[in-house]
Amino acid sequence: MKEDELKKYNGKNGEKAYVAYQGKIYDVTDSSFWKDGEHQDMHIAGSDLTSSMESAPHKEEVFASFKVVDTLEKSPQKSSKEETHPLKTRLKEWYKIYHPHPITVHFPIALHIFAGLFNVLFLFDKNEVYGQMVFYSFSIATVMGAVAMVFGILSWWINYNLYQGKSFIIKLYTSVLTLILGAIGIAIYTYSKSSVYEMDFLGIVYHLSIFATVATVVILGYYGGKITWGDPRTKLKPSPKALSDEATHRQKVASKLPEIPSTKEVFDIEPYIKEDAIFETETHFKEINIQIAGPAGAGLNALATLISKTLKKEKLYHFITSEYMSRVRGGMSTTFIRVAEEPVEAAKWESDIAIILDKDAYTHIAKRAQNAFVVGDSSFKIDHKNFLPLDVKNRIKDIGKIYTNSYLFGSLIAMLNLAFESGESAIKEVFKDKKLEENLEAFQKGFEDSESKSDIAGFTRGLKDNEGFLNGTEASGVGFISGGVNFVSSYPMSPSTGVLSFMSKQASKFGTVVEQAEDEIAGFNMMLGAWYAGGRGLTTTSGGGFALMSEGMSLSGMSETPALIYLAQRPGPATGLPTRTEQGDLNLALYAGHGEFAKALLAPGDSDEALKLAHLSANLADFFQIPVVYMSDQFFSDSIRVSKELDFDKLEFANYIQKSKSDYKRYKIEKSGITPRAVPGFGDALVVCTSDEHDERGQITEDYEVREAMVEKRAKKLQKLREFALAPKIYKRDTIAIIGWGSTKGVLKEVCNKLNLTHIHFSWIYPLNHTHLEKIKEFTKLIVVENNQEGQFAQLLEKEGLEIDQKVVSSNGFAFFADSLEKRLQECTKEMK
Amino acid sequence: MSFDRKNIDNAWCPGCGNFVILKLLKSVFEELGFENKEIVIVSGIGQAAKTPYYLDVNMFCGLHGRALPVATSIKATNPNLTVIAEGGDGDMYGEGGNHFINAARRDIDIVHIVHNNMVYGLTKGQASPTSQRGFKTGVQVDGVSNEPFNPLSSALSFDARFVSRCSVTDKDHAKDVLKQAFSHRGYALVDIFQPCVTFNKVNGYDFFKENSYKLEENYDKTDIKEAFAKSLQTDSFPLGVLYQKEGESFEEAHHIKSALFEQKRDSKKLAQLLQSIM
Repeated sequence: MKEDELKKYNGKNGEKAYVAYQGKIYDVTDSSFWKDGEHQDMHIAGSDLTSSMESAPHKEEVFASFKVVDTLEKSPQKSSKEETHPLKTRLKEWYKIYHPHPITVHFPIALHIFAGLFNVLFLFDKNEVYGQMVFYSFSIATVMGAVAMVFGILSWWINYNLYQGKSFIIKLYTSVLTLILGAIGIAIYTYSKSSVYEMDFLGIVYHLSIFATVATVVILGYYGGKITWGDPRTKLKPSPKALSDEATHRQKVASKLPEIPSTKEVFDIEPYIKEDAIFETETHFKEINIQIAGPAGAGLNALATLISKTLKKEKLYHFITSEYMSRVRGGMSTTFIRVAEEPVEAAKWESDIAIILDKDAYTHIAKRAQNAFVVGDSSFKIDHKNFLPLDVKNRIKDIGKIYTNSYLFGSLIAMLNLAFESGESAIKEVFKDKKLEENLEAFQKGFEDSESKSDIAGFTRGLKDNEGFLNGTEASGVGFISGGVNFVSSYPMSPSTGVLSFMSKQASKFGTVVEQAEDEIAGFNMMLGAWYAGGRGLTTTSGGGFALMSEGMSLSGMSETPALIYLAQRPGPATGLPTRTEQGDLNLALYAGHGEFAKALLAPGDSDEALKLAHLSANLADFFQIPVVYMSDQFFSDSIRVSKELDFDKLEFANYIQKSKSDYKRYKIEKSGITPRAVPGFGDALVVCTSDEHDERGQITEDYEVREAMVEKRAKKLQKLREFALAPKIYKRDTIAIIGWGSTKGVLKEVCNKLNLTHIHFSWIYPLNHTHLEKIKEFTKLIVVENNQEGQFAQLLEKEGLEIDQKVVSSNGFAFFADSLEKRLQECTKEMK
Repeated sequence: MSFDRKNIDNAWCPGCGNFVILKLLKSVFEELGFENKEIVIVSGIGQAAKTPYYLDVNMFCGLHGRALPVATSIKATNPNLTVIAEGGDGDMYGEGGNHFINAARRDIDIVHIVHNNMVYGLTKGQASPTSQRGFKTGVQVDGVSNEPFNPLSSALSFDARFVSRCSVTDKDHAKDVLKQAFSHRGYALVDIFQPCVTFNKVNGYDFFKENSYKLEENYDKTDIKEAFAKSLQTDSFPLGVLYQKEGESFEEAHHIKSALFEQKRDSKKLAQLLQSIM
């Protein structure tokens, strides 16, 4: 900082107390030697003490115990001003050689005391010799006192810049008083010598002035010594009172610094711990599980969309997910559709109705359709007890083969015993201007050819007016836009590309800049550049791409540039299973980036969390100036689940960018560790971003003390994040608790409810808050369920001090199915109960 | 307006060609009437990449090789800024090669300044992408066997609309080339010959003086064929603007007119979006 800025840190009115010595700035706020920013009554905080050290009774070692906060920038104007006072410079040199004040000041002190002592003798024996001795020494003392005073004032100006400390002011008044007393004494002796002997009124005044000067010179000597040598008493250990004063002082200082807003302020979710089971969900509810199998390119997605729209019109809760091979054409995929009375958010392995689009599709789902009605073209000749052959090929021969799906859709609507009109309006909505007539005809034929195979008519239709359906990609995307994301740079990679496309589709409406980067490294660095320049950047990727971004994570950490990453996980290692799901990149995200720096990991478990966490993640990155990784996976992003309307006014949108003033410093050390962030072109300051270790200005430094200060500054953010963390949601039912994170929320919610087990869901993954974890220690058995092989989240919990009794893991490329997970959890909790 | 950054500790060797470039940039900024606040220099890692620490402008000193993507998004996020990506030949042509291709193709309005000294300085003397064949180093002990990278013909093949080269051995000419680059709307490459006095004893001031020439007065910089022919001359390197063409820059193509931080969030629009897709 510059000298002018340093002046502000004078330790008064709650300001910090900084002093400079040989180019470094030390924080002396908390020192008992620097109460109220003053040291020994002669040095004030906010100044450069380099020159004062020469005359100090201690050496520079005293600075060793203080923290270096910055380097001092000598302001050029100041030095030029100094040069305009050549007299002062010359006087200063002369003064340093001859020290006229200490030389002269001792004479009047000694002589005044001498005069006082002899005056006592004189009062006992009014001898003229004594009387003259007293007068002459008193007169010489007064004259010498005037000389000493001149040099004293000179010294005050040269050495202490006329600093009006208590000692200086006392000395000034006392010396003037001494001089006046001297003049009075001399005048009385000169004009009325007899009074001195006769002890009339003037005589009494004369003798009193002799004695008074003894007192004044003692005071002068005392404060002179104090200025030069300091007060030894203050060097003793500070009293408890002093300490408590210091604490209040520190508190005063703290209250002036920016404080971290609470979770509630930034985010419309209370950091809560739910003690009770909050599901209105029944343990037993009616449901139908439909699976549609066919090759890629056969229109499975279109069929799923039609069904979802119909079910929504019928006010039926449903959940749709899919598994598919990494193929553009061919291969084999399945779409799982689960219709239920309750808002389920997981699929089942076993189906009730299986629709197959070609012959091989049956082989693909045979194990999942043992008790199902299997629907397909009669030519497939399927050997299954419940095969319902349809004459699809012949029936739509005249319309065209491409209308097979609309025919099958009609057939399914009939089998589900749903209203023809609901299906018809879905067809009209989807095929508005794409061969609507033909699609309607095929749909009608399919509807006519099938009969009801379900009791769906008896289902409670609970879908509320403010509810609808979103896949994880859409929910995340809307959340990011809500969080102010206005710049996206990504390299496409399954299963993250959905968000990139979504943001691109909405770009013109929301003024978002979307650019497909040449690689993930560019994607990440562009995103950082956008944050630096005042935008809110996002990059989307999956494991392999994220691995390439590690160095960028580290840059975000060091340069304190916010970063936001949408990480949609898929099974690795390497290319792994590109289109399938896994929660296998937790460790990658936790440890991404070399060096030590704070980051936050979030993982949504349902639509509401997706919307709100995506919104929060942008605010978090901006506020803490850290990388925030929002972790999704293929299952989460592709699945369509229930969602609620949201009042976006309630999601606080906070912009933490500050218009800069000319004295702005990008890495200024604040108590909270968070320096307000300015951006180039907004305000008066230049804004830097530095990858090397740097000082407060952002200039490269290798000074170990500055390094320590900066390391501490960055480390504080991790601590603040821990305090800020959202609590896990605890749905308490039993002493056995099942712990999950991110996308397993839906399946665990259902299974734990059914098995009457406590469910603990984490959507704030890292860094964890220990108060929250203490709550979890109350449960007798902890079982972690996660979609990977090593139990990465369980490992993290163990590292944070929880004892995990069992891990229930799966890494076969599928998400957990409600029915098969129920069996596994029943099995492993049987012995515990 | 002064572009000197105060109280700095310059890390370059005495006699380094970088000092000339630093001085050139200061005078170009002054002569073009730039303000400190409107300039952002983005750099990576290397001796050349330290330049922004010595200039009193905004700076983003990031990762090795990654200056171009950062510069790209800064310009796209706030088109009012004058953005420069600056670094050495290893930084820009080696580590950041892919970004070089794509920054040129993307045609964002930035000035890309590459200090070309044909050697790695920061890592103490290994071969760089532009090192000449036979150049011996502690790693290339028998001399470099790779064909040197040709940034100019590469940039031309990437369809860059402004391709230039200059040398610190001719300051007035270099200043003129830099000024043209700053006046160009779109991606502009300026490759600057700049001797490394410590680690490259072969390609020093004399080498660049003796092995380069200024493009003729009547040279047609709009002729791509001529530009390619010139770019391939390596016995004596041509100096000047080899190629310049009018066109549409990235921000123009994307209709980015104001800084993104001025955007306002619209809750109603968000609610509408959510409703429409639910």
